[in-house]
Amino acid sequence: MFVGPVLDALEAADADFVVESWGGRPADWTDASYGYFDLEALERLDPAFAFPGYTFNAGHVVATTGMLRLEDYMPLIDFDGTGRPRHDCFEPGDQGVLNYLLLKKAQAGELTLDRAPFMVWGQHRLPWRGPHAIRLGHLTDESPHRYLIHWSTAKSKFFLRMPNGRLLRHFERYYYSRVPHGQWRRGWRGVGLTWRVLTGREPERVRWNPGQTSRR
Amino acid sequence: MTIEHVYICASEQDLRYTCCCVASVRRWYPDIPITLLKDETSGPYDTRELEEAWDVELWSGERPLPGRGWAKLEPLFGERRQRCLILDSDTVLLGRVIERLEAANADFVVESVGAWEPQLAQHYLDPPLLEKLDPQFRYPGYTFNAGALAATTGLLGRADFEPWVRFDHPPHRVRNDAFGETQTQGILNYVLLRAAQEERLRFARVSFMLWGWSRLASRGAQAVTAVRVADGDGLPYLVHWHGRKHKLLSLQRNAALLRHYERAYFERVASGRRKRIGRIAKLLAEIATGRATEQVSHRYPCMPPAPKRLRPIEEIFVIGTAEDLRYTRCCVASIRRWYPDIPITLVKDESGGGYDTRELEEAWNVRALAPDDRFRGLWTKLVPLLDPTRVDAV
Repeated sequence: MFVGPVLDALEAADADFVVESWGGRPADWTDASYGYFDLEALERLDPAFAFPGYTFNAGHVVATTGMLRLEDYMPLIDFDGTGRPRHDCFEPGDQGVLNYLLLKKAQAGELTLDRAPFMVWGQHRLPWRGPHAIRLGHLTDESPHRYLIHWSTAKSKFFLRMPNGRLLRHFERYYYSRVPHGQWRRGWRGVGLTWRVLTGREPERVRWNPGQTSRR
Repeated sequence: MTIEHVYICASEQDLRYTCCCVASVRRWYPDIPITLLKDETSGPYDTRELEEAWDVELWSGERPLPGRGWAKLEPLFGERRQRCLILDSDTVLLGRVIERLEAANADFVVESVGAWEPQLAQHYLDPPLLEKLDPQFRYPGYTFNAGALAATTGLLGRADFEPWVRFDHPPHRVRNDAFGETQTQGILNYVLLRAAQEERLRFARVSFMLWGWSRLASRGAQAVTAVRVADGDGLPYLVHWHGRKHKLLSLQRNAALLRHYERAYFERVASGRRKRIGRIAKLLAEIATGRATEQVSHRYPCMPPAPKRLRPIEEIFVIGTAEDLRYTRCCVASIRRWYPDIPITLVKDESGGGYDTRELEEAWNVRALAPDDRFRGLWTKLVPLLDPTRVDAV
């Protein structure tokens, strides 16, 4: 979710791909199930790969389309069979493979890759005061926050139960402001969701895509 | 060699510690020039009280000071040779420590405890990896905490750091794995140790730092007490509360030292006692009502205003599923808040079943795209990446 004019800052980067700069910690590269890849196993798979020492979350990428091709993915993903990466060194989702491909191609000079601090984790406690506080009244054209917020962990369908859910509720209100009978629909959908969850017809948590088991 | 200047890194979050630090320096060195390396990357804040009551100057360089600890490097890059002491704001002097540092015949003097070996790679640097990346580098078997160091300016330049650091706005490390989790400590260790190895500078280790988190002696010749600091000769050491910090000083270990220096700080400020009580009451109220965190936090991004538009972003792709449609609506609304005209394409992952997005398309000018079966589920994101007819997109 945007909380300010983040694209303005990203457009200043002169690179084919721009990724966020928090990335994983070294401990995250020791096991494929930690969201990226098992670096030792990956280096055995591709001895020419020189790991540059960082990874990135793939939930938001500035990309130049057409620079990656299906042929790049074909040796790595079993599209027609399991729909999973072919090698255990990658996490079961798309993040590990995309990290590897972009880092590898940047190393080979086939594309340029830059990192920028344009993301904040939604599950973290965000400041309530001072210049970093995200006040709903500040989410105007002059918003000082040049970043987006990413809720990367398990998500509830009820925004009230989400960390920093007030931001989600703010933009949901804004969403319905453009929808005919928006307030009525919003209320009705909220009631419907609550009913379905309470009666066990729908889980309270957002489920990952079928087969997507990564911790991300 | 005389230390001529003291630089103190300050941020709005730990300004209370900065006040204590300044008061402690002035307690032992009433006349030494003090310059604040004031991190205002997230907005301006008021330090006039410090400047006026405590004779402190603000750093004025050609470029704005970077945040998150990188400001500490700026004095090093000056052209003039000057011996100085660079302090984190979470330090206080217990006595005349500068004379001890001056006694060491070296360009850089650092503390001598350094990393606890099991946490070396986490907080400082990863020697095996660095020796692999830089075969000339020989790890000397020690590191140092960078919260306080005596330095000689003009010996190191940005070029010494640049293979490992990008001095953009804000600066960032090129690698996340070689220099621990702190922003500058690992890289500063490496650059100084490397330069010392090449004999480009003289380097010395002196035991002058005590950890604020440890139990300090309360009796005997080495006792560290507020009374001794207030009335006695003090001890030629400084205390550093590295790592996580409470905004409520009383919750810190060895808080008596901080409270003593805070009292001393407000003695020079007009209506100081009243101001001190008022600020503590305000802080308590903010913490109690959830408007402020109790711990000092530096976790925020600091993207500066874009100087120029080099690569326009022409389209935004949002990947959505039926399960997170509520989140998708918020995401689209938030994009439209700042970019009312940018084309948005919703790439629908319908592997869990089809779902209706007409409302989103009609009310928010979004184009929906359902990829073929091969790209459903995990690989929906590949659709915009692989489409060669498109240009820059998020």
